[in-house]
Amino acid sequence: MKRVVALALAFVATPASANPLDAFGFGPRGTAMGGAVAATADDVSATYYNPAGLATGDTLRIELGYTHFEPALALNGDVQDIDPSAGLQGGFVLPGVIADHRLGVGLGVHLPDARVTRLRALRQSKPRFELYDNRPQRLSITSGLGFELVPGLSIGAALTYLSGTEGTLEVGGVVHASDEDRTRLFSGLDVNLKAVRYPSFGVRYCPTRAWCFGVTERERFELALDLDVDVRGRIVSGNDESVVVEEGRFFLNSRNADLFSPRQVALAVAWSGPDHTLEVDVTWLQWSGFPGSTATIVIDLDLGTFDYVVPIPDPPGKPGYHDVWVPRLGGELRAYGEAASTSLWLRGGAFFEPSPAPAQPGLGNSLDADKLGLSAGFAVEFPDPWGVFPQPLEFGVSALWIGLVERSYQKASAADGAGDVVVSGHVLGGSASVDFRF
Amino acid sequence: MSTSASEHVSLGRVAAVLALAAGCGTLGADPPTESALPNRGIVPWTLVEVLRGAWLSSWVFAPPAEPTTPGVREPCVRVEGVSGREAVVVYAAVQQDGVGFIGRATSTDGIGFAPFASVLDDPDAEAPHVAVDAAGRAHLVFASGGAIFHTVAGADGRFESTPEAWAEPAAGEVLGSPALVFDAQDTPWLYFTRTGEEDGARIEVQAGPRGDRTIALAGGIDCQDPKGDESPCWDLETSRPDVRRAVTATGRTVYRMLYAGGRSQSSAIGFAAAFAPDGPFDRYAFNPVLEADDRDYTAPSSVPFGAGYLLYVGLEGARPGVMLAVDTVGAPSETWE
Repeated sequence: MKRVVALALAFVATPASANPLDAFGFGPRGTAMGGAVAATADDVSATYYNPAGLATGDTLRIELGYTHFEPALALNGDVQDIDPSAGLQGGFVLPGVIADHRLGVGLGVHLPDARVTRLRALRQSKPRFELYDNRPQRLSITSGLGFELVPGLSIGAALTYLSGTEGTLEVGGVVHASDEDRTRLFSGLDVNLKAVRYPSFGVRYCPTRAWCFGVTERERFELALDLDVDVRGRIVSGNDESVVVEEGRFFLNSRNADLFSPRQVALAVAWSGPDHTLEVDVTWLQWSGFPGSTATIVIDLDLGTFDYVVPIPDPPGKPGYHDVWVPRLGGELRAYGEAASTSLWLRGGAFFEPSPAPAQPGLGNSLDADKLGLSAGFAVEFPDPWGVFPQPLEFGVSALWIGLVERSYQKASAADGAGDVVVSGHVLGGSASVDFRF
Repeated sequence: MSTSASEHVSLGRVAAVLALAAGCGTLGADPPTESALPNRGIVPWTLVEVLRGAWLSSWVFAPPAEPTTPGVREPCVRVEGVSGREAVVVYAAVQQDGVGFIGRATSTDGIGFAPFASVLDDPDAEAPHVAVDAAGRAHLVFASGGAIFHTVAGADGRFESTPEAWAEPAAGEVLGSPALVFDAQDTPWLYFTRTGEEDGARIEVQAGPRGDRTIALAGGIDCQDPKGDESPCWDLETSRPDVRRAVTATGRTVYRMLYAGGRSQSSAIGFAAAFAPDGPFDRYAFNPVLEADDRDYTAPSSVPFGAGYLLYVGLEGARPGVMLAVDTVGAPSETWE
């Protein structure tokens, strides 16, 4: 029975927090401009950055691309084994008009090519990069609707879909206390992947052709990982398999917040012309709502007359994350060509994301550091050489480097198991896509 | 860690511990490795098995089979030499051919050692501990006759045979198993086991020769069983400290103590640490770090070496011996000599 307890505990300790789009952006334009596109996004990425932008286009757009980000994050100078984030990105925007009001429907998809989603259980004592360990490892499907209220003012809303996990592992049979080879157990597994949705809302206001303002609100989101382990059976001992416990039971419930995204509000202002865009965004992230990723465990053990108690870890405390403001700056410039002809756009951006993670002198080891992001990219607009598409195609490429400002974590107790650590490193990657317009 | 042709390290247990320590469940991905996670050298320890002839043995220094076979007890391990060519050096109380002395043996892998050479011809000397000061001079402290003595190495590496008593027992007590540490100001701090006739063993510390003694690590109190009822602590008595001044990953100085803890007849190894040489020493939350199974462990001595840490532990009595455990799960994050 102790082995079953140990096995169960090994699977229910702690996971992490969420969202590849929050971490690296969506689409080549958004990524290349440092994420500062909430006032100007009108392509597929508007489903994430600001769904009100879906109402500003006038062509059907289908976008298909790929993104890949490779972390090189280090503890004490040793690069950790953190999975890259890679996958297909794309979607479509379908414009229309209702009662003289423009609208647009969009669908944005981030489809990781390694796994649909990952639920990871880590011990609280294990140091980890809370924002990069598990956060980018998930599927994201967002559908949005933008509606133009009056010329220059549009609103939008979007829903992002994910699946949560709840399940029960049931084990029954006979446990032989003195000869493990004679233990006979039968198991059953019942797991449900529940649909989880969270909304986002946006407003875009362009009082002139040159100036646009945007506001986006993305709701808080967390996936619960809710697992039960229910072991029932008879415990026997000796060659004659004399019954030690007639009907023993071990029940364990583990629940934690897996894949957390904080509530976000982005404020944006953009200055645009036919050949340029300059945008400044500020995003508020409510990390103070982070409940922590350590599991809360309930154990019920009934071994009849045996007075055996399973030690239960103390309930995890709140991790003490705090809200942060993230300034973003992005721009693009037509370096070659003119509207409706072959054009070359150059793009660049930067952002600074303060770390929401507090100093962790106690048991926690949920590590992070301030991040500086520098990005660049280009896009080529060109007429379809085969004459299939009536509108110019756009091929975009972006690169993003996120550097972690070196940070030291020091423990209050000299005998802490993890000890002092120094966090550093970077993430490097980019994306490319083709935008087909009809 | 290299092995000679006649000796073979069983890494099966290490691999098993690695897999177990990964301790993570993933859905849709392979578990991540922990090869680069910081490792302080506290846990987990895996006993190394050495192939001696046709037999797997846990002994690095086996208990003497014959009176002429060396008997080794109470090791003190250090790493000496220039970077890239370090050697593991063990100082120990050696009994050979009926003669006792403080011996020094070296190894390139921590397992196979050259024969012990005497560095102090004193048949009554026990529990040697060696530390090096800022000037590079080696200092030896050892127990003899219930007191703690100190001596300094000469140019030939042998220690002067006229040791000075640094700590002497009061009536009704015995001092033993010392450890010596120099702080950043090059002040020597002497730790030792103080055993009283009525109150058992505990670890005390003093600054320099004949300094004021204070308790560094008393026996454990206020322990509870899983049900929350009061229960005797596993380290009701503390003894045989191995204290080192280490540097953490952020550059802080930390004083690490491995010690033997026990109650009744059993003994296991625990870990405690402090940010100052005179404490307070905090116990590791999941002590003991090397638990008694079918035998009791005592006299710990540990050092970082290669990609992990070495921990030598001894068995006491008429047939003493020394075993080696290794901690290679992760990247070493603390350094000391």
